[in-house]
Amino acid sequence: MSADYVLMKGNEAIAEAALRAGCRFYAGYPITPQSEILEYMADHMEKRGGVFIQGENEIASMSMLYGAAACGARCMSSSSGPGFDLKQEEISYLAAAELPAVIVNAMRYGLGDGEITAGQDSYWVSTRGGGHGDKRLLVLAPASVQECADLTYEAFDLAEKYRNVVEILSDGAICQMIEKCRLPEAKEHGMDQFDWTLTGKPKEQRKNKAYNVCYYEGYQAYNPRVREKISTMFHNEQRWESFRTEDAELVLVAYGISSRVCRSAVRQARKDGMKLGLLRPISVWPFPRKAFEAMPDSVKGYVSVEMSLTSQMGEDILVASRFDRPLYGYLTAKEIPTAEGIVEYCGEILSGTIQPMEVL
Amino acid sequence: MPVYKKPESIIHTAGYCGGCGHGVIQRLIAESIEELGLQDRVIASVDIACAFWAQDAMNFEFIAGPHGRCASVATGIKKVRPDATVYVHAGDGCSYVIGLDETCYAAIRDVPITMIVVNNGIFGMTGGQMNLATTLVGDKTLSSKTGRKRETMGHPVDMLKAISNFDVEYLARGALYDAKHIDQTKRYIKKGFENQRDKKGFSLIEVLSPCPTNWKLSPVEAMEKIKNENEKMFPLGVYTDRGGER
Amino acid sequence: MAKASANTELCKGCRLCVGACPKQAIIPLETVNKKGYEIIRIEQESCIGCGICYKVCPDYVFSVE
Repeated sequence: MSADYVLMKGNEAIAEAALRAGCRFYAGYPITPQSEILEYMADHMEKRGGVFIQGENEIASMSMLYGAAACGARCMSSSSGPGFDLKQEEISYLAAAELPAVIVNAMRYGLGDGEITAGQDSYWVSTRGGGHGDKRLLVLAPASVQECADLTYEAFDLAEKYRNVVEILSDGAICQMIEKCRLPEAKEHGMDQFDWTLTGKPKEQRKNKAYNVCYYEGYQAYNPRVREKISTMFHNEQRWESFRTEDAELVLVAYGISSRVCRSAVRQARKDGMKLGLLRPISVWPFPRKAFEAMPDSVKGYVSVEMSLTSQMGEDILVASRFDRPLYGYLTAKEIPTAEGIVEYCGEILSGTIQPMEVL
Repeated sequence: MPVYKKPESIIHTAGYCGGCGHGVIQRLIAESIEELGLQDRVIASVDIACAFWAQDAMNFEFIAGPHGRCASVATGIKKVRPDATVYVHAGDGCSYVIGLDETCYAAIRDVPITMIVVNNGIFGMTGGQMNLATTLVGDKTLSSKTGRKRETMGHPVDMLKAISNFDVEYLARGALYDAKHIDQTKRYIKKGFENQRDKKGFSLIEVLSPCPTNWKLSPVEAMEKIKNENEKMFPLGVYTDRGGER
Repeated sequence: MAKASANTELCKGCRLCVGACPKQAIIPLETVNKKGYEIIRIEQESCIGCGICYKVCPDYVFSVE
């Protein structure tokens, strides 16, 4: 193995990649399974000249981040489950003021406290959420430690490019997994490179304000501009990986930890002559609708593989595929799916014993 | 003979109701900042209640964030821009009720910001509901129409007394009911900015201020109420001065 | 001697200055400004330029020079 590689946990790769991207402000509150991000920042942030704050709660942490983001600093926070819920208010404020920030959601399973183990049932709060009001978060879902690093590193550029919150949607398995990883090059970020930041300006200079942009821009200009921004993000930022879809009979659709199992399932099934493929959304917002346009005629249906109770991604698949093929669901809730289970399920689909899923 | 002229940092008339104390507080802030020569590097964190109007009136950079989180927002700013003069202008609902947590932890962290809290004993922007921290027992509000009852609604709290348990730089309470007390309040506020200039710790200045509109009193009667009633619950003076008089 | 002057367009009719003036030099009027508030008038001969009106006014009506 090349000396460039290091062995790291997903959470650590996210934190280190953020620091290498020039992130110099982190505020957060401990919650399993993302706490290593906070701990890594506690260990390393000050050495890189940045600010680490363990907040008194999620709301305060995010409010501190809101202030730092308005000053142009590259900012990050992270949480899981109920902790991520508490960040929603400030995400809406970040969107209102069009401030860039990177927020990590390491999904744990279940309602309320739920479990501290992996899950994928925060798909809705991530792809639809971010609090009240019209906005979209760019949501990137890594499926390896390498992607934890790469997507986090790039997330800061995307956040600033669109002046938009970017969410890294990992899960309890991806964030705890230890793998080899090649870390991106460290760079410094200049806080004063943008014209919209708060710096504290002399009296003769035009002052910036950080709050609802629509108030000072005016709704007439704001509405079409922000619609256009969301549309541009939607069209330009769809990312996915296709694996053996070119002749597939059934295409598994899965992201994060589930997609890793699906890849094994595809290989296993193909040994037995069952033609499975995998479509792995890397961006879950924007959902990669373009990937569905190029599906070959061989595809008889889609199978959404998710660690959730009901299918949360299902409606995105239906919209992306324009309901052109039946959709099945392999939903394992708090259990990580197994390749064997997926292959068996797909066999039953092809033999006609399983009905398409009703998306609720 | 001294000359009295509106500070140049105030560029528009205040958007407050007639007789509201916020306008005076804005002036005291602006004068203090200008007299200390800090006006070229100011970032103010205002709450999205009545203090929000300050950003229209004053020639500083402003940020307004989630209701109640002004001290946290200011903390984030001060941490990444330590050379800026960062102050909070917020009400008692923001600072002592929904955002008590944030105010207390900014104090506990001893963040070197200057926090101005307007104690008018009511939720002004939302139309006059009870403030759990500052509405006096017996005071009538839209959510305590027969008067605040201690048995069910609790007693108001002297938050400066509470915060003085923390290791902070400076805590003081002033009032606006006459020119003498306005001058005293200004000395407190100016001290708060001096502390920040001198890279000392957290300073909070609370100001007993009238809300004639929601108290349903004339501005003159509202000032009388502060003097005769509110000040008894919220005594004026310096509560903490870690650095001492210079 | 310095004297107070008033930009009554800024006035919101609160009358705090009227009672605060130690020389009773501020006279409340029924005249309204463009915003509809009843304004005041300063009796220049009584004014001693003490600045109290400037201090108590929430709306920056007064200056003393």
